[in-house]
Amino acid sequence: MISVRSLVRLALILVAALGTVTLGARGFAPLPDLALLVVVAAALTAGPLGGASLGLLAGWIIDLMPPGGVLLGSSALMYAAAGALAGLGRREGSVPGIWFALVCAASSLVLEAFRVFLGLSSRAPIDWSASALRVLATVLTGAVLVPLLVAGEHWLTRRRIS
Amino acid sequence: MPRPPYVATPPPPRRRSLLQRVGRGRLLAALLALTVALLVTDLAGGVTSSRVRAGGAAVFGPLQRLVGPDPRAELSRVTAERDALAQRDRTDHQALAEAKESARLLESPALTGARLVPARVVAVGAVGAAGPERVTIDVGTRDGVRRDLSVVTADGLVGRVVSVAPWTSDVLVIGARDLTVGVRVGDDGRLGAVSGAGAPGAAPRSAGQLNLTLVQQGALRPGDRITTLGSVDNRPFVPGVPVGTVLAVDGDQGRLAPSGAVRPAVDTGALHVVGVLLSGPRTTPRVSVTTGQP
Repeated sequence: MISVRSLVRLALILVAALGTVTLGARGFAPLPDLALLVVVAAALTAGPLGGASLGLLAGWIIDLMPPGGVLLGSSALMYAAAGALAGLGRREGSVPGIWFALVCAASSLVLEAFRVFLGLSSRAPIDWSASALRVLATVLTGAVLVPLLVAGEHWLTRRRIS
Repeated sequence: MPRPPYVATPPPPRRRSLLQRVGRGRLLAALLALTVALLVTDLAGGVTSSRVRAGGAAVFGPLQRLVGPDPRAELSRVTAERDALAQRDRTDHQALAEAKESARLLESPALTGARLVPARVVAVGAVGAAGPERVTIDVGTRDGVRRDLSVVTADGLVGRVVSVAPWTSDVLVIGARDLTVGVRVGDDGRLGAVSGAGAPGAAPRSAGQLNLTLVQQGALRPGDRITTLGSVDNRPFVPGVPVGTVLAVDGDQGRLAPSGAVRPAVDTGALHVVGVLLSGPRTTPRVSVTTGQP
């Protein structure tokens, strides 16, 4: 049976992926990677394995939501790696707020590194400034959004226990 | 200032779920292996990946249409807004730009005589290192759109339709790694190919530039205009649509055919209104000019 927490995570990823492609079509740039932030928040609660699983799911949704990724499955693998990395940032007890931003930065950099690698492998030009702005937007948004999402994760956990 | 509570306390399991029976690690490994297998299938151009994409489009396409605006109503709205804004002497830059773009598209000389379906870009896919490579437009099979049709703006070629769902279509935009366009260059129509991927041995291009390689020896000059060569039955590309202009020419570096950097005619990072060409500009049969008798 699927838990309420899993359904909430799935809904958040769907909304984030839909929001990202729709806002992108309306010329908003640089856009933060909202789906990654949901994955990071879940990974900070669930650890590397849970982070990788949710990252894989998020990546597949991004790959399949039109227009999708150029290489089917590439986003799934990238987000799984980013989720696993974010899961390594899971800490027992309270953590300072900067920790969320650091984990967001690491995960976002991993994603961007994959994108640059794919670009370089086909000798495509790299838009370094756009890449840097994407990472920056994700980190700044994550510093605000991820603590809220983590608090939501904990609330759902407490609700489940009680 | 109190720190946010951050204690990971997983609840005790109530019953053994599928995840617990199989083992989460093993399940994740299996899913990752399946993902890699599908990625390799997609790289090899397999049919499975197209079906998976079509399934995704059928599920998520209606959601995107729901969030995005209706094309015809939106077109009428921005046109009406343009007139109203002109009368009131107010400026709404985005609406005016879209209305002008639509008008320019319909009046474009390169598209005279062509059957064209107007569409709006409703989603931009995961961006590559060089920018967006796929976009979704809000027309699909119900609007007469099929795979391998040209997508254009008033400025020139945007790309080709690679996947079609009932209400949406995915477009591989020019500059994407997998898209190569046969072109004619300059006034004398030298043949070449334009792609987003760099030619072997050529200097790396700056962001936003394309790579041009002629198919044989010939002169290449900065400023040369590049248009599509066209394809059999006008699919995927109709002839004569502007692709860009030659920006710089590479040195010889031991290659037989010259190559150069191209400034694309269309800014794929700022697409709003586009048109899908259901047919090429020429719709009447070409008549024979000789009788065939001595």
